[in-house]
Amino acid sequence: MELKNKAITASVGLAIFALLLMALMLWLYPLQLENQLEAIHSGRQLIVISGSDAYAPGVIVFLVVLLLFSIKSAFYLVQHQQPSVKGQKFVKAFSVTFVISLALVFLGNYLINSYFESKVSKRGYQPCPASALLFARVTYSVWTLNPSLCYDADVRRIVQRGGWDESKQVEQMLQRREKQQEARRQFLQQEEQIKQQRLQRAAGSH
Amino acid sequence: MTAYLAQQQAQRIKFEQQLEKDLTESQSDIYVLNARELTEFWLTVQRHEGKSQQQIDTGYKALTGLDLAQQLLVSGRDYGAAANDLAVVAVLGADLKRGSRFFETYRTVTQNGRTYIIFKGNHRARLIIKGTRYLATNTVMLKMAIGSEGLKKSAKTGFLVSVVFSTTLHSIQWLFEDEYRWTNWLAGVSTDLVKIAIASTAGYLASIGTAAIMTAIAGATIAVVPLAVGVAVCIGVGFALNAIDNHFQITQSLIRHLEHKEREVKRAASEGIYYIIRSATESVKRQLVRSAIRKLNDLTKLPFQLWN
Repeated sequence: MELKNKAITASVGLAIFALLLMALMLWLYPLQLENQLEAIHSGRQLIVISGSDAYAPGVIVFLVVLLLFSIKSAFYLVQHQQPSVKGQKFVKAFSVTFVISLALVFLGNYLINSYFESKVSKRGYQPCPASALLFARVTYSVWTLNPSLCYDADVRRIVQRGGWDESKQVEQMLQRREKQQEARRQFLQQEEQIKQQRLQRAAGSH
Repeated sequence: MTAYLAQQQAQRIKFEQQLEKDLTESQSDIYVLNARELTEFWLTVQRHEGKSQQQIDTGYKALTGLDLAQQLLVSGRDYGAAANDLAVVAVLGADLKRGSRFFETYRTVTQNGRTYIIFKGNHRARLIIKGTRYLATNTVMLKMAIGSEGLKKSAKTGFLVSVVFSTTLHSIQWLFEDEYRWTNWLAGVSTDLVKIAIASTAGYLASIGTAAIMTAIAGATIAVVPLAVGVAVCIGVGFALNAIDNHFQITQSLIRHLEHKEREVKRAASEGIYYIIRSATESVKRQLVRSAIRKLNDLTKLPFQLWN
């Protein structure tokens, strides 16, 4: 009886937990996906792709199965007093579903990541070596249009966690750098012009 | 009083040892043996029981109606008849089960024309299997973490592996990258540890809950299912925590806070050093002026004063 009560408590607790986690994931996954797609379509010089986000759809499916299992178990336990053959069949059916769902988690991750990688590759991005950037973030990969950025000290200073804003910061830094180089080029051109004018004036006076 | 305390202490140690033994025993080894392996197992048991080769041959023939040497030869060549396999497995399985010496219950399964025996072995079975070269290399043995302690052990191992993995990666990055500072290391490792701890605990609790529900419904649990639930929940919670971290920039804020603190400490330290140097300079200057005035007074014999 005590075991049964504990099991009912566990199934109710598990149902609430599955529901909360599912709600949290359904809120967070679209945000992550939106950021990921925005990065892919942004055309920025350097983007970060998170491989672990691709687990989310599979985990949501798994949580649905877990929620169903917990709810059905709670009802089953309330209706039945002792473990039974029917119960064994129920457990067996859900066990198979759980294992299939877990396989789906990994399969989904593989398929979604492959899709994103092919999409990113088509847009001309190349992956940075794992040791170059975000070494401690194993589920993140950095893709760039210009492979020399993988070893750029300023980029390394910015890209530390793999957050979505880091890619934007890198882009801003590159734009600033471009402007500085443009200004320097203009300054050198002006200097050159002044020098030429002086030389011409000197030649004219002689 | 001392004797009573000592007795209590001894009892406590005894209980702890018993608990440790029980926890170890909650891990079960599931063996899958074919007819040849079961025959080897049976033979080893007979030898352990001190029987001669002749007694063993006679006993085998009495049980199965087959000649031992011939049977070993046939199954060794891997073309033993299915009927023979079934007879051997059934009879030897029943013989080994007697008195629950090596296992209490067993199942026979026929797969692809071969018959196998599946049983949950006790420590004696483990000794026999590990001590026989043929069985140790050929037996299919599934280590099943059954019960809450097994799940706890799995969760603990997973937690430790993740902690070591995370800390090592962060440390390597700190060592080899100039841009990766101690603030990044501290913030990265601490947030990773919190995430790992929360995800592992959630996974462990979910797997315990699943095991409890399954046991209450069916009287037993399939060990792989609670583990699968634990893994999936760990991944889900890990994803959620990571996404929250990214969304609210928790680690980045921690890094900024640490850098701000570092700047404050540096400023305080430099101000302190500047104060010390300035005070020392002032004091030396004052001493020099005083000694110079004293010298002038001595020379002129007039009281010379720069200030009151």
